[in-house]
Amino acid sequence: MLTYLWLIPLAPLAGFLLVGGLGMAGRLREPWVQRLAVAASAASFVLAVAAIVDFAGGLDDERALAAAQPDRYEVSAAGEPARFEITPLRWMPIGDVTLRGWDGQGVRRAAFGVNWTFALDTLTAVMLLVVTGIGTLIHIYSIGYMAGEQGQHRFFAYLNLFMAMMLTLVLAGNLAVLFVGWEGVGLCSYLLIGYYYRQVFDKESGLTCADAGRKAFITNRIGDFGFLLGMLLLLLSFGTWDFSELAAAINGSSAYWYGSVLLTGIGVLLFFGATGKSAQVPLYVWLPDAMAGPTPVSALIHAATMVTAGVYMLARMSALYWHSPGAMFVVAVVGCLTAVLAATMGMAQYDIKKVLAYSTVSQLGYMMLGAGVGAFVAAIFHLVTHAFFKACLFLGSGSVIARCGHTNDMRLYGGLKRWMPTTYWTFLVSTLAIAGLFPLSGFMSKDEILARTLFSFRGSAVLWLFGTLAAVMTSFYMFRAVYMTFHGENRSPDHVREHLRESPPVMTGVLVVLAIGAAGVGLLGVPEGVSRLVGLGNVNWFEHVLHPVVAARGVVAGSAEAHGGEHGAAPAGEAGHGEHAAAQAGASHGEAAPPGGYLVEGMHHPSVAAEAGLFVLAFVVFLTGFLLARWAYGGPEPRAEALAPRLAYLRRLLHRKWFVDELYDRLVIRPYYAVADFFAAVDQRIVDGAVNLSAATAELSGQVLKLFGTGIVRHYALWFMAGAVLIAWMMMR
Amino acid sequence: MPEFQHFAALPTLVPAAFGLVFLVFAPFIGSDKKWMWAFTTAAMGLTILIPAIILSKIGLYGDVLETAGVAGQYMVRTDRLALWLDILFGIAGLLALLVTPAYLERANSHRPEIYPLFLIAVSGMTAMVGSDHLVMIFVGLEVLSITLYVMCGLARERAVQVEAALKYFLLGAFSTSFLVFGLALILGATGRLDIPGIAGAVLGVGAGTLWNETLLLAGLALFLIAFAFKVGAVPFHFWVPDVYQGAPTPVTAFMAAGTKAAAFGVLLRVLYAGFSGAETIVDRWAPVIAGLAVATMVVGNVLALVQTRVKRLLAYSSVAHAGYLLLALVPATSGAHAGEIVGGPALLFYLFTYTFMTVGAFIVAALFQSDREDADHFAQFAGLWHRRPLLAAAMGVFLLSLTGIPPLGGFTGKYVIFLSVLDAGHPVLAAIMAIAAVIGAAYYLRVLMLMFIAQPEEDLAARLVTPGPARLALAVAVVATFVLGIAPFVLYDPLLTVMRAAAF
Repeated sequence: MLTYLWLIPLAPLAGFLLVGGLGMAGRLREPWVQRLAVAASAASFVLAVAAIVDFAGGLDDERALAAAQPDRYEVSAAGEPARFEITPLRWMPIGDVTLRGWDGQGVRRAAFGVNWTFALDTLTAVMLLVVTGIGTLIHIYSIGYMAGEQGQHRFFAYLNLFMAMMLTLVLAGNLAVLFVGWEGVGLCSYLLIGYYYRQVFDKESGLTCADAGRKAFITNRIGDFGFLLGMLLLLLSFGTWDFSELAAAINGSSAYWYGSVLLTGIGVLLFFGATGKSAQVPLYVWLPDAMAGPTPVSALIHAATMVTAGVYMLARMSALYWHSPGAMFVVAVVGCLTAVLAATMGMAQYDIKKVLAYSTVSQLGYMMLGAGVGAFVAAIFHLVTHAFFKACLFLGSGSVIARCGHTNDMRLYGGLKRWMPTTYWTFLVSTLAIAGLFPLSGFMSKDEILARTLFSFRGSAVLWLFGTLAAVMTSFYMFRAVYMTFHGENRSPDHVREHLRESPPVMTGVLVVLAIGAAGVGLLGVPEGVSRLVGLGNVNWFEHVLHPVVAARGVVAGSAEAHGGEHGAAPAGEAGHGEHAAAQAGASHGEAAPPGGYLVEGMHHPSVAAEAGLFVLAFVVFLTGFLLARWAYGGPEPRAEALAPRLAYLRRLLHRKWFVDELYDRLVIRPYYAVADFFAAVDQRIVDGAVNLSAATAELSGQVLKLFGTGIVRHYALWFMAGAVLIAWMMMR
Repeated sequence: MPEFQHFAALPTLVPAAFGLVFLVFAPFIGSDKKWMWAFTTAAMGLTILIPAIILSKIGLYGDVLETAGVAGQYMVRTDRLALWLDILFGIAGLLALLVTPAYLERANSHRPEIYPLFLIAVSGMTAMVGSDHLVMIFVGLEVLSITLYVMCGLARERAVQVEAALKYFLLGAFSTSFLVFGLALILGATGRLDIPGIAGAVLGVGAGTLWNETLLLAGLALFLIAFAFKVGAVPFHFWVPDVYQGAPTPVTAFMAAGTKAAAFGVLLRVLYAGFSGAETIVDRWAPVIAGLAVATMVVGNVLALVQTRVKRLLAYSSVAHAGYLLLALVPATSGAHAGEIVGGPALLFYLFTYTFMTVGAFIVAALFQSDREDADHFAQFAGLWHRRPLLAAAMGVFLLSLTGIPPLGGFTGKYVIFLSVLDAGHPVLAAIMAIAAVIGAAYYLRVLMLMFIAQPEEDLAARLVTPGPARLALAVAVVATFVLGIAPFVLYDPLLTVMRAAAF
């Protein structure tokens, strides 16, 4: 099955071509549009599961295959983390034509040509399941959500294309293929945000959905500029874009690369791309506006999958980031800042999707924070749990929006619990999960990130403090949304209230599945500290599976003894980590450091009391947010309204999102236009003039030379002789 | 010393034999030209097949087959270089043959003799590249040239064709005299006319055993002049536009691809194997090649800019492409391969892509043939997209490929030549090539714009029919152009082994 890995993205691509092509030609009726699109997505899910089952079964058959066809297949050696690679297509390779690269030891030449490589390891497997699983659920939900819309084939075709691109992104075996997916999902995001391209989505500014799509696309383009620079620098430095070769090159000369300016530069540039795609400070501004798209799109692309591509990319490039503490520090700070800033903005929004959008930005900030402090596994785990509860929240909000006359304004909701019980309960479960109630999934992943932030050698107490603060706010704004939407008196216009009812089963069914996931998926990765508190030892299955892929490797040996003392605090912790160490077959994990004395990976192991304290604190955080929201919005007469005049300034600040849009307008957009005007003038006067001049020169010299072509053979013979004399002179002078 | 392997001469003997037999019988079945065409096409297919078969087995014979000669001097030498080029000649001939009946019908000139002449011309080309003896190369060149003179002027009643043929003949005879005199001087300087012998004498330059270096250089100069004429390098290019314009279009296509490939094959073999042994000698001819290349690229492209007829434009574009090809012949100045021609595989690869795209473009031009004087004027192509979208798309592919746009073969070809020039240590030449290619883009895109954006001036759809064989030829050329662009390794990897066996 593994050899057919490339079918996984191909299935939705075929769906896109079929649905889009036949739909455009008008040959496909509505139910078949939906069936085909869902089938294509489901097919990729089935293929992904089959491939992963095969993968989990061992790579012995594949090793034989790879030995027979080494240029087509590659399988990691026995001691390495399991990894299977297939190259179904070579793109424009040319013989021995090579690129020159420099890898720290000297010039090396790598073959030109980009291989269309797909690779599968546990990290990709997790992403595959999330993308195809949740993607398929959202496809199904869309059947109900889009019911009665005209021209659905466009929507479903784009959705399928998105799946194909996202799967290309996560299956990519090298940066070039990843970039194809990276740009592809950006394109689909643009197309789907602007799906209702004529509709005005923001009444204040009069911007249309098409404008929102453009904002997303252009903002991402700025990030991608950095990403491309990083990619090119990487190619220049290492001569390869292949992930396994890159990791081997970096890990192979660990001492050389550790802390190098070059790697830090590349890491920061790549991360700049991630700030665009994953909506981090300073490029997060497009995501709230991306809510102009249909709600299933918000759930799939702008919550569960695409926006997490940046986090996935960081984990994929973990070898590079481990060797660059500077780049990781940048990632952690930006992530933490994003988490706090977005949470504050989320507290003052009235648009339910904007609340969820800022919440997404904030949660993505947590993931970045996790990646930045070296907790790559926890970051990916938060990605997974977030995919469940945020998809459920978005789809729940979609269910509400569809029934409340397509308004997003929470001030026009209220008391919906009565009419929409399934939506309410699933929304509540997901809210509890994101707010971090033990033992729901959000607690498991967020707590793990925060604990790592506090205890990891790359983390810090300040980052932890701000992260915890953001968690309080998370709990507050989510319960605020719950109270405003589902509790209290209904504030809808009468004509809407008369038709209020629960959404069809095709939608609520998906909500239930996602809510179960939001509640239960956390059990896959119970944080070590928590499981030790309840006396289970380390049952963090997720960490066990994923850690080998993102572990710091190839670190200079000989420092394990030097730093052994710092680990002595918690013997139980050592035992827990011992398991991993065995699984990694000698790879260094937490015990090794380069000569500079910095630890590459590892953490201070807290005492049991500290862990218990954290556990309790997490509950207090949850409770604080909840009680605040209940106090402010829970009563029949929301106290928030009464408070409003006194906090008017703060409220305005938060509601207008710290005036960041205005700031960008002054700082970036207007200067940009000024510069653009200047260059336009330069272009029209000087550059065009130069171009026209050279064109005219060429044309004129052509006209002059044409005069020599008289058509008379005697003249030709004369020029022939002139040339012959010239050549004879050159040869014999 | 290898055995006498007579089948080494098969790539030359087969087209020659079929061509002669068909020519003899042409008067008897002359009225039924379809038969003649079918036989010739089949024979041309065989002409591709035979070198392909030998090529697949050549490893069994130690990479080189030689025959017809004594005492280490062989007239026929069949190696990978010769066989790949033989295949290319066959392809060029076959593609041109496929469109010839349609052309003749349209030009109202029914002369079935033209078909066997294609075969005889191919036999001349194969003789040229399949030999390492200068006399044999000369004989092959003359067989080819005389056949081409006849083919150009076959339609005696059309003044423009007769004029083209006569110009070609006069100037060709002029250049042949240079070649013969050059051979005489080389013989005088070295006492040998076979390339291994010459190479041995050239090696003697350093050792002081070559008794007259000046004589050798004079001979080489005359040889280069003659071949610069054959490939249409500036300033020996004046015949190219006139002849390409006047000759029957399928013959033009065949000449543009086949003659050029044969001449470059000989240049590559003679310069690489014969005159690369001594640094002082290389230092003399390398600047000549580089200078010719620069002049040819720049002048060819600039002159193409001011053309208003498609055949003439393609003629100047063919001059410009000769410049790129010459560039690949410039030897490396430094590094491990100093003094060697590192661009050999790139040159051969480019010849293949060039064959497909330029023959394809000429085939489209051939379909425009009519009795009118302005049959290939730009105005005729205006709005082709609205009248014949597939034909316009095919022409678009060829023109874009000639421009050098990925993912088409023309891009890959330019790219490998560019890299080989850089590898040879000539960044300035590479830069000039890039500038010349940019100028080139202007006139190809002008035709493209005409075809796709302009509106047709008059409705010519009625007489623009593409018969089946021409469609096949266009399809083959389009597919090959794409394949060589997207998967260049299918051709480039095997070509990498060519130079190994071409050296002595």
